[in-house]
Amino acid sequence: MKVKLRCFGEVRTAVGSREIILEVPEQTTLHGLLRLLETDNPQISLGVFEGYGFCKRFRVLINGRDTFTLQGTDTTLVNGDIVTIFPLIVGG
Amino acid sequence: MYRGGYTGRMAWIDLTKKETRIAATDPKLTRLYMGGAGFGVKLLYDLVQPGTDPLGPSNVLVFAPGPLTGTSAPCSSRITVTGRSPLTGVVGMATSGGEFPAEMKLAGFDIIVIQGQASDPVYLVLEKGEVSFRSAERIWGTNTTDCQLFIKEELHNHNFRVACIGQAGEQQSLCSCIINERRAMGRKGLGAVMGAKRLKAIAVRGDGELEIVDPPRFNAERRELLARFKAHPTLYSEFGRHGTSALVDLTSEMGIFPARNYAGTGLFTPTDQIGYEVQAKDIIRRNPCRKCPVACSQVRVAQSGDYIGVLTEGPEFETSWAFGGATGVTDLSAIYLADRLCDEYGLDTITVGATIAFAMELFERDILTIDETDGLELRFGNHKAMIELIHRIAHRRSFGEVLADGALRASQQIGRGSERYVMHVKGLELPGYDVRAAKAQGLNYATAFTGGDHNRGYAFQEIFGVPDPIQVDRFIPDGKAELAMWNQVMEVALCDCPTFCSFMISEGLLRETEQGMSQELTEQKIGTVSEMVSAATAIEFSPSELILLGERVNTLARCFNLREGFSRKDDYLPVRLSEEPIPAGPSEGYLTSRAEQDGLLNEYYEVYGYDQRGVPTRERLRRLSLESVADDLEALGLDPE
Ligand code: SF4
Repeated sequence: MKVKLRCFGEVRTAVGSREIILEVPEQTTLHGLLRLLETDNPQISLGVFEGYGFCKRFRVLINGRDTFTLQGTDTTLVNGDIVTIFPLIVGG
Repeated sequence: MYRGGYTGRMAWIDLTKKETRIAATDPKLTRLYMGGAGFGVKLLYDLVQPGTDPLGPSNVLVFAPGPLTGTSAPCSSRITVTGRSPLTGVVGMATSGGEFPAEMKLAGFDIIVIQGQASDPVYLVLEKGEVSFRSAERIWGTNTTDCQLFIKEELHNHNFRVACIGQAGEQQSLCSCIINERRAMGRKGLGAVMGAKRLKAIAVRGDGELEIVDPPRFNAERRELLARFKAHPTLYSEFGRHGTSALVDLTSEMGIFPARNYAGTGLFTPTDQIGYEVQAKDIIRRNPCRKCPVACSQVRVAQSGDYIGVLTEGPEFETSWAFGGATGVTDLSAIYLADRLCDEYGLDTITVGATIAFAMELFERDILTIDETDGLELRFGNHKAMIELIHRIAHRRSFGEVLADGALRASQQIGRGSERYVMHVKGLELPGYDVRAAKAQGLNYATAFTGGDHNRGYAFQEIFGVPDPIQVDRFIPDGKAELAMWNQVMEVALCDCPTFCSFMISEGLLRETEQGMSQELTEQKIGTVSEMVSAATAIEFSPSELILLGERVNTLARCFNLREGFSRKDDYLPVRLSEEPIPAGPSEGYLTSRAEQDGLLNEYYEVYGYDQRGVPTRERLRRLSLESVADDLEALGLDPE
């Protein structure tokens, strides 16, 4: 299945693009996807297990939703999902 | 040398008589209202009688920093200005940073209250605890940059800091604001109040010093706060670098970047043209407020586009949204120019952008014709028309005259069903978050005492996903009444009274605790502000008193609005947000139905201790030391239960 990854900040720099389409096996979880991303791009450390919302430095959204409102890293992705990785920003 | 966070002096300035009375700052006022917004709301309530013409001599402008302003507390150079808003009719309060706030305090003033109306244009000079009047005849008609420069030259001292109005305030445009340096005391038309009073500017020069009463206690807490800033994963690296501009992209990813006057949310997300990574290429330097180690404020120069070479300080997210998303414009240089022009004319960027967007929707719907717009092809995305309209609004020229008092008044002139397209609460145009899919933020728009204002209780939990005090799902209304109140109370108690920059609430001002909004946890969270204000002033402002302060100021402001005839019926979002779902994108399909709003309001009034009309109960007022206000409400037939 195909999942769209939208990247901002240092993740975008590492990946080299704002948007990439990844071909991943059915039943891939968010955790699996992020691990894949880290493996492919060793310069990124997403801190998947840090536990601040999702992780300390990034806000991860699935189709615009915070992952803690889904099943967190265990959320199973489906074909066509859009995953956004944004540096945690504050201010407003 | 002033000891203890306060200079102990306030100035009562009567423009009609050109007289100033210097008085001692009332210790009862400081005890119950602390500073900043607290002083503003209390003095407004006491001094401005119901039904006062906001543009008449009886309205006031209260400029008030807080006890931490001018100290070494980081991010503390902030000020509030308060008066009855001519745009909304409710409390008009605006805040600003930069240098002016600390400078005014160090010039020797905790508060200045401006009353009356000058017979000819004047400006005020505040220095060494004295106030003098100067003629502004020769600078009436200038923009804010030239005005500031002229005053510094006339006073032979470039260290003066100046808050002033541009042509828009002089014209009493209700879109106008007050500018200090290149920062805005924005929204609510307070520039028009200054213009009506024929007060062009206030120049301040502070060579005094503030002595902290308990330096070891103060410094220990200050160090801890700075350590939290440093430990923050992205405060310096992201927010310090990009400021608020990253919100263009983040809100787009969330599907809450309100496009084309809120009709096109999710359909138009121009991040590739105006997003923060594009804006970052244009940054030439930072320009922080005094004592701010974060420096979110950036100066940018357009490197391309139709207005290549234009320089502006900003644009803040709201400005990028108002002149980008709301109007459908994608030429970033046009947004920079619009921002710059608004600063120069002394116009509020949100109100102006939102009002132009409203007019564009009317044009697209054939409610406005090209004859009525005096030849302007007011289509979404037409940046040339947008820029031209800013000039016309500032000078009240041709179609600009129709728009110069904001969207609601424009719709009243235009008629033909145009009211439906005014995106406002209490006459204040909504900012750049589509709250159909951010429920606490929406409830704050609905209930903020200044009208549709994001700054009175920003729901950073929903917008940034920050789990403080609790982690929330932005799409659902459950629990949001309590959260909206928590945010409104904290905004006043932690930021607008002491003063601290509001951005800090989500960035380290709160101590880390487990999640929760209980009294006990909240008291732990806000210990830093309590410690710093108490150490600076030798008045113990305990955490529980800070909470009461926030509740008191919000409630008194609500009572001011009730006294002006506003009530529950004014606490609703515009009809589009309850009837039209977000058309596309990640938040597609969401709306905030009338029933949902009713439920939220019921809960909101309950958590605040108000009845279902939104009137505070007598018991609640008594607990907030506002007993006499209950009598005022009763005299108006509002009979608090
Ligand atoms: S964070 Fe930005 S707005 Fe706040 S005090 Fe610093 S420079 Fe000023």
